[in-house]
Amino acid sequence: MNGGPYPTGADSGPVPVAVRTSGLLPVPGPCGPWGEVLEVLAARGTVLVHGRVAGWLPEESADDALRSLLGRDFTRYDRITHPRVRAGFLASRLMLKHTAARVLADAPESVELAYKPGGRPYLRGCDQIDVSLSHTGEVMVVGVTRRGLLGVDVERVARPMAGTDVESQVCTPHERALLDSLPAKSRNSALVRLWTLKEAYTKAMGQGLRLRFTEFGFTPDDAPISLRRPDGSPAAVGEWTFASYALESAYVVSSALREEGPGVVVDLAADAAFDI
Amino acid sequence: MQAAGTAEERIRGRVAELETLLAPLDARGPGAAGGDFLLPAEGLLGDCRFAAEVVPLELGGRLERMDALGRIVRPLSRRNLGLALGHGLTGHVAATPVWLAGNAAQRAWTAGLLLGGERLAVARPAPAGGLPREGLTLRRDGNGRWLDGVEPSVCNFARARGLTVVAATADGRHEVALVDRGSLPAGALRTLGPRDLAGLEGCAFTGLRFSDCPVPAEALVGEPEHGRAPAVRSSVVTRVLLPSMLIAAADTLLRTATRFAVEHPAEGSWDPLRSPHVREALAGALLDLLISDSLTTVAARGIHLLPDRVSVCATAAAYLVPKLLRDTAHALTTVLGAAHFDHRGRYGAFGRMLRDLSLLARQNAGTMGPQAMLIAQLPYVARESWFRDADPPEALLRPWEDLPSADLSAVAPSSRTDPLMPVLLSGAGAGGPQGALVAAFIGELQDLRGQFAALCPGTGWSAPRVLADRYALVCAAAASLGIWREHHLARRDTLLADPAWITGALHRLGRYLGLAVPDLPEHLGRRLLDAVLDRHEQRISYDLHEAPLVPGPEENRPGRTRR
Repeated sequence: MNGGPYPTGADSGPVPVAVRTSGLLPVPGPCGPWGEVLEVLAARGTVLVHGRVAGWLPEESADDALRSLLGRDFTRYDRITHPRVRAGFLASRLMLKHTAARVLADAPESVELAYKPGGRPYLRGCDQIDVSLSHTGEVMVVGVTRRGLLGVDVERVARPMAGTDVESQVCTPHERALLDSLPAKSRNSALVRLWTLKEAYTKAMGQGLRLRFTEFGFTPDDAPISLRRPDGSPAAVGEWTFASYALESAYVVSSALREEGPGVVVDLAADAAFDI
Repeated sequence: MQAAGTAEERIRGRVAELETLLAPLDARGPGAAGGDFLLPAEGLLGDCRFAAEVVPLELGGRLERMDALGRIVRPLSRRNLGLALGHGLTGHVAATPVWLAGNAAQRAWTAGLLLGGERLAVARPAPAGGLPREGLTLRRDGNGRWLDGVEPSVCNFARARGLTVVAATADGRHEVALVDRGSLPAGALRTLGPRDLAGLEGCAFTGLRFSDCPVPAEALVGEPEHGRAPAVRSSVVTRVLLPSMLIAAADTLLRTATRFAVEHPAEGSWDPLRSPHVREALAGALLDLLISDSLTTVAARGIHLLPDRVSVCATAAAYLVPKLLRDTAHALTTVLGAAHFDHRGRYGAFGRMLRDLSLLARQNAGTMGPQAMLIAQLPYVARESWFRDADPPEALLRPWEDLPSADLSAVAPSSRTDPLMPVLLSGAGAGGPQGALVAAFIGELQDLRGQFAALCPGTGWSAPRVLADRYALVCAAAASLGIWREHHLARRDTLLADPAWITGALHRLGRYLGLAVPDLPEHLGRRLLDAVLDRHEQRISYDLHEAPLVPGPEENRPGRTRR
C-alpha cells in the first residue's frame, strides 16, 4: 500500500508532473506501524498517512466500546443507516483519532474530535497540531501538522471529470486553457489532481465547497505547486505549501498547508508547567 | 482634566474623536503601503496624547476603565492592527505590572516616560508570532540579581527608553523588573537585529540578549520573593485587551466582506446576498463578534467589579476569542472569493487584516498561557463554585453603566468562584428555542463538573485541555446570555435585546461544542443578516457598543440599493 509511482499507459492517463511518490505513509490499522509516522512528523512538521476502511474497522463493535472511542461522534454515527457510509465514517474517525493519539502520546478515547460550524474537524483543546481527513470509497487519508493549518484530499484518478460539467464549475479560465493544451488522455487525471488541490486548500481554511472553486486555481504543471488567481497570476505568495501524491495506481492525494510561524517545536507529550 | 457627562458619554466621545482623527488616512490604508498610513497615524496619535490612555488617571493619564481602553483601541485596530499593537497593547502590557505592584517611584517614572511621549517595551515569556522563546532568567547571588537569556522579538524596543522584563527565577516563579536602557552597563544588553514578521507592518520587533545584566533591588517590581507574582496577576488584567483589538479587526473583515457582497449584485443564485453560504458567513460573523465582545466586555468590567474572581473569565476570553475570530475570518473569505487574496485596492483591507489577525491570534494561540491558567483553576472552581454561587452584580453585564475604579492590587491570579455560571443557570426555564439551548448548556456544565471531578494526575495530556476548551465555550455562552438579558431588561431599543442574536449565538456555540442543536429557524438568520446590512449601511460598529464609524474617503462610493 505504499504511495507508489503513477502508472503510465493506464486508463487514467500518464503521470502529471509534480506528483510526489513519497511522504505519504501506509498505516494499515491501529497497530501501525507508527515509527516512521512520528519520525516524519518530528523532522518535517507534517505527515500524511493512508489506510483502507477494512483495516480500520474494529473487530469488537459493541456500542459501549464505540461510544467511548467516538465520543460525541457516536450520535452521528448511530444515525447513519447505509452500511458502507457507516463503515467509512467509523473507520475514518478511528484512523484520525488513533493517529492524533500517537502524536500526542495519549489514548484515542481521550482525544476529542470536534467540528467547526462549517464542518471542519479539529482536535478540541489542542491548538498545537492540526488535522485533516479525507476518504473516497475504501481509501482514507489523514494529515497531521504542527506547522499551521492543513487540508488533505484523496480522489480516484479515473473519476470522470474532464468534459463534464465539473470542468466548468471547478476550473478558472487560466486552468481551462492549460488543460486544453494537454494531450486528451492526460486531461482527466490533471483535472482530478486540480480538484484535490482545491479541496485541500478550502478544507485547510475550513470552508469546503463554500469557497467557489473558480475563484482560485493552481497550475497543472508547476513545481513547487502554487496558488493562483483566476487569471493565473500568483496569489498569497509564501504562506502556503501544496503537494500532490500518487497512491497505489488509482488515487491522487493532495495536501495544502498554511504555514503559521516557523514551526515551533513543542514537546507535545510533556505536561505544560502551570504558570501560577 | 475630565470632560463633563457620564463615563459612557466620555468613552463614546473619545472613540468618536479617534474615529474622526484617523478616518482621513483611510484612503492611504488599504490602497497604500503600510508606512504611508502608519507614519501620519502615529503623528496624529502623538498629537492627541494617545499614550495617556494606558496611564492611570491618578498618575496624570486617562486610563479609568479597562473596558473603555478596549473600546478606545478599536478605531486604531479597525484600520491597522500594527498601530494598535504598537500604541496600545505594548505599552499597556509593559506598564500594567508597574501600576499593579510597583512602588511610588516606579509608578511616577513609568507615567512620566509614557506621558512624555517615550515608549516602554516589554520582554516576557509568552509565545509571540509563533516564535520560539528561549526565555529570560533572573538569578541571584551574593552580589545581587542578574538577568540572562534571549528574547527573540520585542515589539517597539528600537524606540523604547524603558523596558519591563518578566524573567523566570530559579524556584520557578516569575519576577518583573523595570529597566531604564540608559542606565545599563555596556554589554549587559545586546540587540540581535530586527525580526521580520510577515505582516504587522510598522511594528518593529527586535531580538534581545541579556548577559549578566545587573538588576538593582529598586528595579524589581513588587516585593521580591513575597506574595503573589505580579507577572501572573498583571496578565489577568492585560489579557483582555488583545481580544478587544481582534474584535475591531474582525469588524473590518465583516464590513469589507459585506461591502463586497453589496457591491457585486448578480442574477439569481450568483448574487452573493442570495447565496445561503454567504448569508450564513455574514450572519455567523456578526454572532462571533457579539459573542467575543460579550465575553471580553464582561472580563474587562470584572477587573473593576470582581478583581478576585475575574481571572477565569479573562483567561477564557484570551483563550477563545482569537481562535473564534480567526475562524470567522476564514469563513468570510468565501464571500470575497478571489478578492480575498488582495492586500491593496478597494477590498485590500480584507487580505491585510486576515494576515495580521492570523498572526496575532497565533501569538496567543497556542493559547498555551491561557490554557494552562484555565486548567489550573477549573477543577477547583467546578467543584466549589458551579451550581452554588449567586448571580454577579448586574453592572458586570451592563456595558453602559459606570464602574468603580479598579483596585489592581486586589486582582487574584486565579478565581475561587466563577462569576458567570450563575448567569447561565438563571436563564433556565425560558421557553422556545432559546430555552432549549440554555438547557443544553446547563447539561453541558453538569457534564463538565463530573468530568473535572474525575480528572486525576494520570489522566493524560488531552483530557484537561478538552475540558478547558469546552468550558471556554460555555463561559462565552453565559457571558452572551447575560449581556442579552440585561439589554432585554433595560435597553429594549437595540439588536442586543433581540432574541434573534442570543438564540443565534447559543446555537453557534452549541455547534462548536458538538451539542445536538436543531437548525436555526430561518427567520432568525434573516434578522441577523438584516442587522449586518443595516450596520454596514449606517456605519455602526459590529460590536456591543454600536459606535458610529466615520467613513474614509475611499468608502464614499454609491453602493446598490438594498432589496
